[in-house]
Amino acid sequence: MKFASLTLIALVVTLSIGCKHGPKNITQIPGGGSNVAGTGGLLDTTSGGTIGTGGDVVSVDGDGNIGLAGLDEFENMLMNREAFSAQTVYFGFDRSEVHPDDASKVAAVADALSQSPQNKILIEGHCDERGTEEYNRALGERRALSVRDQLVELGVSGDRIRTMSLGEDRPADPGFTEDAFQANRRGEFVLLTPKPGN
Amino acid sequence: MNKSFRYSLSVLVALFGLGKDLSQAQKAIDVDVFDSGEIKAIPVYIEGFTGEVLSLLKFDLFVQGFEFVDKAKAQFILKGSNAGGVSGAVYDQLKREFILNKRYQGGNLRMQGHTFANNVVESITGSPGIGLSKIAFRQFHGRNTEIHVADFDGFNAKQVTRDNSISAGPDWSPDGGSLFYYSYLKNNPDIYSHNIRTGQRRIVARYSGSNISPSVSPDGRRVAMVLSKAGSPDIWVANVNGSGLRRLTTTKAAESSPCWSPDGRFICFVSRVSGRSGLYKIPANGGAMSRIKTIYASNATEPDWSPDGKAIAFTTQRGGSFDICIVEPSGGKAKVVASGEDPSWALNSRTLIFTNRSSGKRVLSVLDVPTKRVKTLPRRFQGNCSQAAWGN
Repeated sequence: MKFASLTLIALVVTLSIGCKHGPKNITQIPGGGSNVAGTGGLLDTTSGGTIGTGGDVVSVDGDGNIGLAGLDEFENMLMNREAFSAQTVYFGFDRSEVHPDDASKVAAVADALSQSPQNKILIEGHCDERGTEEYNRALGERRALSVRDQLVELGVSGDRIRTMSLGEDRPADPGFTEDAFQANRRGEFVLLTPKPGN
Repeated sequence: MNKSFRYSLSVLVALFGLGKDLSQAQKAIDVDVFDSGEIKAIPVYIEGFTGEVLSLLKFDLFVQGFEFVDKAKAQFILKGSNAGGVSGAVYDQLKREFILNKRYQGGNLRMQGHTFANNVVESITGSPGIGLSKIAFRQFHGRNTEIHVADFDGFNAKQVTRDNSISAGPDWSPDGGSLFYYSYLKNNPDIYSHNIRTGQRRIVARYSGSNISPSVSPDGRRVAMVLSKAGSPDIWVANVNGSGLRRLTTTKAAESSPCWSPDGRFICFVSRVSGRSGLYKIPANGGAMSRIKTIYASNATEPDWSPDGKAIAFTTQRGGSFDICIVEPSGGKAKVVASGEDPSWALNSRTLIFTNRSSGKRVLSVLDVPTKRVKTLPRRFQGNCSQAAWGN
């Protein structure tokens, strides 16, 4: 213990001498004029400096093992937002169940899909802005998935259905009234048809 | 610490006149964000600085628990100059001595100012300053949103994504070299990691449905996120390159906004499993989820665990308005600390950045939790801003 104390004394003495006789209170900021870095030294923050903005996306495969589960099957299809625009379903505040009044709309979509087996469907889930952003993103997905569940119950194969939440980012009505909020809590059907020649 | 060691230390402290410094520092370090009493800001008087540097110092110190008062009422006097570079000193009016005296070279004027502010905070409170830290956030560009980074006060902002899409939910790797976020770039919300030096991006998760809300583990090796590929928005965890994917929650209800405990053992998140949104935690390696009670605060969302592990900040919602709350990680009475949403802790575990929303506008503000004082970022942006994530 005594040895440790002595070492500590020696250390403090050294430090204190270092302070008194070191370079006169000058703190050199690393990076000089051109490539000034913040903590971590990675960001060039001087004016005119550049930051690596998002370039091409590197595909990861092999060891990275990123599966594109299902999504690739929906690529190269034409999106038709008009076909089912009358079938948009609406949700209660903070709710994700399909309202019984909207069941006939979902049935109409299921019917159309059963008659055109080459077509697929995208269900978009949307929210009003009365919720936090990431919460709404998840709520929009939950809504789209509820609609999906109904389509599956009506016999549509799950691999023909894609869901996508837009959260509160794509309001149908940009207003802040109760009517606007109601119009924004919705599930939209986007018909996907094969591109001619595919 | 045994007795003889403590004795040696106190002798040393007496010898070198550090006693008051230490007790002063000890007092400030122990500031408790849950303290129910009034926590007073530290009164300082500032002289000699002008213009940009003066504004910068006032902002940096305000959001770390200092207030600016008349010279006679000040406990510390900050004296200096920014002519041809920043130099500054701190005089302790009680001890009647200078506790800091420094001159800064290199960098630029703002970096010198932030560094002085850090030295002031360190010399008075014993805690490291946050003046040189960075934020990442989401900025609206018309219908689209892009990821931006900036100094924590909003200056030196740089646009990171230019995808003309919705990019959102940024989080920093602990080394500050990469951002994780999600983007609709490929017509689906997918999670990317983005090296901000090289601009190289990699897909971390791109599965059918939502791939959103990435949160990097404190050791930088894993990422927690929300995926809906199993039929419901659940919490998943993977290595940062997307491998080793594992599902943690299996509820039918929507989960959202995962964040890590600073020891990396738990993930805190939001679930609707009880019918209303609330905070939960689950072991990061898998296990049972358990409720974190937030008494007096309903509809809890957007948790962020403080780096010192003592508090979880989150958003509570009543009708259309949002408040920032804090709660102990074991759960209990929640304390409202400001009106706003989506809090993110600075490394000092006392300052938060968050979003203020009113009639369609979203701006970033900074809050000093113990003194409950708020300042809007001094540098405004063209578009609305939200989802600020505080880097180290």
